[in-house]
Amino acid sequence: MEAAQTIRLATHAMATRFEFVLNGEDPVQLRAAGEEALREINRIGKRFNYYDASSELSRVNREAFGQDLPVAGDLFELFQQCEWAWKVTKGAFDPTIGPLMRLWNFGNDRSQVPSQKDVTLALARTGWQHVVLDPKKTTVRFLKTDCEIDLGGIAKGWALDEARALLQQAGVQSGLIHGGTSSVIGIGTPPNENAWTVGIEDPYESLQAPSWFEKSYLKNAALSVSAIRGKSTTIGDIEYGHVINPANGMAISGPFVSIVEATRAVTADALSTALLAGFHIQRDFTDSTVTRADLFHKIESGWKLKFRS
Amino acid sequence: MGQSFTHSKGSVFRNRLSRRSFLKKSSFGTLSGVLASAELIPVEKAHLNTEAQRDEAIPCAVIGFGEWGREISKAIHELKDTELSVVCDHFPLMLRRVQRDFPTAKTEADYRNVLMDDSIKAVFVATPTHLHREIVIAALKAGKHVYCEAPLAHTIEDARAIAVAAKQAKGQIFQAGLLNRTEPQYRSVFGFVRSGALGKANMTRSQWHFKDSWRRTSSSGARTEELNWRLDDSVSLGLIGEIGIQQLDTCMWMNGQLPKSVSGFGSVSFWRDGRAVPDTVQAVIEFPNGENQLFDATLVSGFDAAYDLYFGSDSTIILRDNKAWMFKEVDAPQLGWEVYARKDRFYKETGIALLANATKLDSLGTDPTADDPNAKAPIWHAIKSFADNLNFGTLESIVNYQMAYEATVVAIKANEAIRSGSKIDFLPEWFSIDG
Repeated sequence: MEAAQTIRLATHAMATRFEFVLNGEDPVQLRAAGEEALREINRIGKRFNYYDASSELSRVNREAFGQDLPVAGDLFELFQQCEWAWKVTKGAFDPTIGPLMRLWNFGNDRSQVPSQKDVTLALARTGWQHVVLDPKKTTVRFLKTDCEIDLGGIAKGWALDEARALLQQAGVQSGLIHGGTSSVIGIGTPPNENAWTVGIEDPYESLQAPSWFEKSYLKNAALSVSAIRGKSTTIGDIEYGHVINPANGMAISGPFVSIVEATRAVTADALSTALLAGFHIQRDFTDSTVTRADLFHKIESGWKLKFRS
Repeated sequence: MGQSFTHSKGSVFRNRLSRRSFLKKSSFGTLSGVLASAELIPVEKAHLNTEAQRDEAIPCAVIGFGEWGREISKAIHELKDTELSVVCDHFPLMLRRVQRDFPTAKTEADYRNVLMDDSIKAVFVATPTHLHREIVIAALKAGKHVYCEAPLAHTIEDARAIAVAAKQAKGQIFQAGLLNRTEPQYRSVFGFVRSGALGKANMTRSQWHFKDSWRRTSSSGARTEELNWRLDDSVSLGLIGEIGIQQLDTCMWMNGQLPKSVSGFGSVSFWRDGRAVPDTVQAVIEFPNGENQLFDATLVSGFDAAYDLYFGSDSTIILRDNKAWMFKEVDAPQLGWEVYARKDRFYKETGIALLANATKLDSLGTDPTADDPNAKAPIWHAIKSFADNLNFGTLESIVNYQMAYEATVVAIKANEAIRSGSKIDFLPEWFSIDG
């Protein structure tokens, strides 16, 4: 039997970097499998891009009001995933919060928190309850004229799940794939190890001295980590992050990190966003595919587990 | 839907005076004028009323569900003029992917069953190039309208057989996948070039750069071998044939001439995995008017991606990502309109944005580097053109069998020149489908 070899591949998609580390006996076939999966990630990135006016998602946002708009089967599946996550998080994960995101305009300077009037107006345009899916016809319909869907909180995980399926169909049995380091899938295990060990960095420590405040061990499992660092807006002394509580339209502030492990990356992505949005997953929430759902809060003495589902 | 039509070989839905028939009768004169003048002035064709159209959408089949077959299927699915009725592929995994992507489409493993289905009116052939001949000819014999991917074939003999069959299939549409000829921005630039905006045109430079091994894989060894036909020296036309044909054809179209000779070079410079098909190629295509084309393609570096540059004494036009800009020489005469046009900086040069819909006042303020909400993939426009022809025609295709055959001949010979590192002079009889 030939010795295991490792190859690395990367692409830029969804405004971030996706990387693969793949192990196997034949580097030529591994690369071919990896390239197919990367092409698929790029394709998904283009099709589901909220900011590209000509994307499939933008077409849905323009045309789904008042009509049953047929969409491709995989996009419909992704919408169904959104609906599932919206329900189990009691609305904490909501891909229709685009108007609120643009109101807060994260990453750009703002001198004050948006007015309550503007928040109320934006809130009126949000809510997955305005989205109707028909599984028989694979159609989507918006019940509100200015409703729109932004898949930013879930598309990376979806793309990684699709990539994993393609890699496995091509015979890849061991690999670590991630998108922007916040969404990760461990396929099989590394050679001679029991699981892929992923260190979770403290986002409030200097980049020059990275430290792991938690670890995750993945074997055919996905990890999603959310924090408000990175895309945030500081108003006064308060840092507001790019995660919004859909119930009141307020951006999340404070040093929180959510960590979710699940069979599928799309599930982990949705739930980690929901945890950070300040809502507990409903107390009776159980799902055999979710193995960990933690919310950490940083206090003076260090990171404290605030909530565990 | 599809069952509402009764197939009749060589005719287009003549058993029912449908809205399509009405459109055909009422608009024939207008559209035929558009098509007849297509070589001179590109005109954006009228789009059909999009509502209430699903009941008359053209039932289509796609044969071959590889990466490109999937894009064709997506465009057919999106267009309201067409219905993706069947997708055919002999590999079960691909049919499972079809069922997921397009749950309303039927799947079929044997293309012959697709051709026997009278409800199917149009067939899109997206198999590997060397498998086109048998399927296209059978589809035409079965009375289907056919869209065939470019190149037509990997040999002149096969390409000729397809072109002859298309020529003989009177009343049936045959359109080839030379995408730039139906793409609005390219058609608009064609008008600029033909109206003399370049001054004295002198040369074209085209490139296609993409970092990728071009290798495919599968968990099945036999399937892996089948998937890697592009790296199989006996059937592959290499980078210039499988990819470059689009840019070679565009240059022939803009020049309005067939080339005189082709010189080529190629090497396996990086992906040394046992392949013989070069990962990097260069070619010079010589035209009788001296407006030669320099083409290069590589799988080693993705730098600067893909574009075409049309040079001239007054200006140079760049086409990339289905957008276009003009760069004027300092001593070039004023054209008038460019004062109002949008300008973009490219390092030390200023590009004047050429918008396909520039006559619309509101488009003057549109950033040509931004996304156009109405932008569609080139394949969407190709299929729209095909569907319009079926709805209004049947007329000669904008990309007909002769154009496709000529481009295929150039691609085949360019690949030969690259593989032998030589210059090949084109013989006039090579371009004749009668041999």
